[in-house]
Amino acid sequence: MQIESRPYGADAAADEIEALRARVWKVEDRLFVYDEVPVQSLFTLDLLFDRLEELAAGLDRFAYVVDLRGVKRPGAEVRERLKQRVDRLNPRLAHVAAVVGNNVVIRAVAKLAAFAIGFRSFTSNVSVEDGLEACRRALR
Amino acid sequence: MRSAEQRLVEQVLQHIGEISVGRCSITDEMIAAERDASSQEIMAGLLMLHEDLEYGRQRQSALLEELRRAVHVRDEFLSVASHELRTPITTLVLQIDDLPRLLEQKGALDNDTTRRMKTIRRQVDRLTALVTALVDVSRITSGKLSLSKEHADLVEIVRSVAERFGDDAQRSGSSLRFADHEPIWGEFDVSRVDQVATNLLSNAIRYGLGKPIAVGVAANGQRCSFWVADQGIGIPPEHQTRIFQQFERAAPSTNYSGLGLGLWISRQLVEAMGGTISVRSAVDAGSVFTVEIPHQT
Repeated sequence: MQIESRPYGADAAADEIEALRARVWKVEDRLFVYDEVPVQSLFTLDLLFDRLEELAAGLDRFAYVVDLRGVKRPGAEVRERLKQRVDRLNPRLAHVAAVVGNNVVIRAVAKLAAFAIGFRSFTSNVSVEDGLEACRRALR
Repeated sequence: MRSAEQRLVEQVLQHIGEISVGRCSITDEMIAAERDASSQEIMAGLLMLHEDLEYGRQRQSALLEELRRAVHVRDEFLSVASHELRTPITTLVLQIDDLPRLLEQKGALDNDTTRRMKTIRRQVDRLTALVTALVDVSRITSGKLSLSKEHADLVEIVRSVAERFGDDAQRSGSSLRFADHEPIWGEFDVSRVDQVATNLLSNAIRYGLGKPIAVGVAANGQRCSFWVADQGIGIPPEHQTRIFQQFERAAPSTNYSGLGLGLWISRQLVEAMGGTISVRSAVDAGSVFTVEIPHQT
């Protein structure tokens, strides 16, 4: 199912929620991909982070690639919630690799947001493959 | 020719100026048009800073509005509850006042019954005072407090309060001395002045540790004042301003009952009269509360 470029809320249909949750998946042991939605909302943020927490349950250390290509710049409210959600995972996060492609605005925002959130290990990457490799290096 | 760095510095300063007054003209397109990654990050950072500040302001406003609504609901509840409570209490007082006469007629008024009747009356008086305080809070917070001035003698008003408290003071072990003064005529709201003096004197008895209490009145040009002095537990310096605020108490609620409204109501009443209320106090040495109000003869 195609996720539209609009903020999803609590009124999302069951198949939409399933499609949103499916944007977070396990690549290999301790390594996940988080394919961010085009327009982030508090609802989607919680949904996707809940899914990430489910997948990472029981792991003392893990890393994930967050694909931010095609994503609109998040507003202050979403950034604040993002910080809260990441704070919960941060002690177990070995690395976060943001895939920003050629979007210079998202690259700048991701770097600043990562600084504000306080990731212990963070890289900006051009492709998902690069991001996965950065995570693998951190997990070794 | 200006260097790229100079241009960036000027741009940043201009945007900081905008942000300081709640505006920001930076757009995603402007960020993307910057020549290098550092400049893009600086501009994006300024835009995010502006958004964070605006979001913080909006949240603050929303919280403030929520708080106002909660206070309004509380005041509404106070208003309704206090007025609803007053009606049955009034009936209760009338019935209690009539009981001794009825019992006497039936030959059933012995000493024990009289003592019990007095206890009931004291508790009903306490209840009445509490409900009156709530009604006053409701009037004050809704801006409906009005004064009804008449030509009266301040000395007489305060003296009658002191006389009324004679028995209570005696029961607490305190001697109560009224420092007599020649009449001070003026335009006063008699019941409200009485209420303030009553509050101060009841506090003096409550916190006076059974030690002597003095009450006095003074005139000073266009102003006049009355004071209540006790030698009781006193008030620590850090609490001396706080006690005039709503629901604030300096004495521990485990030892001394009360809503923490009396002095706040007194302050509101005195200020409505155009006066001031103040306290001088030392722990374990006692307190002197002074009320100064305009004379207006």
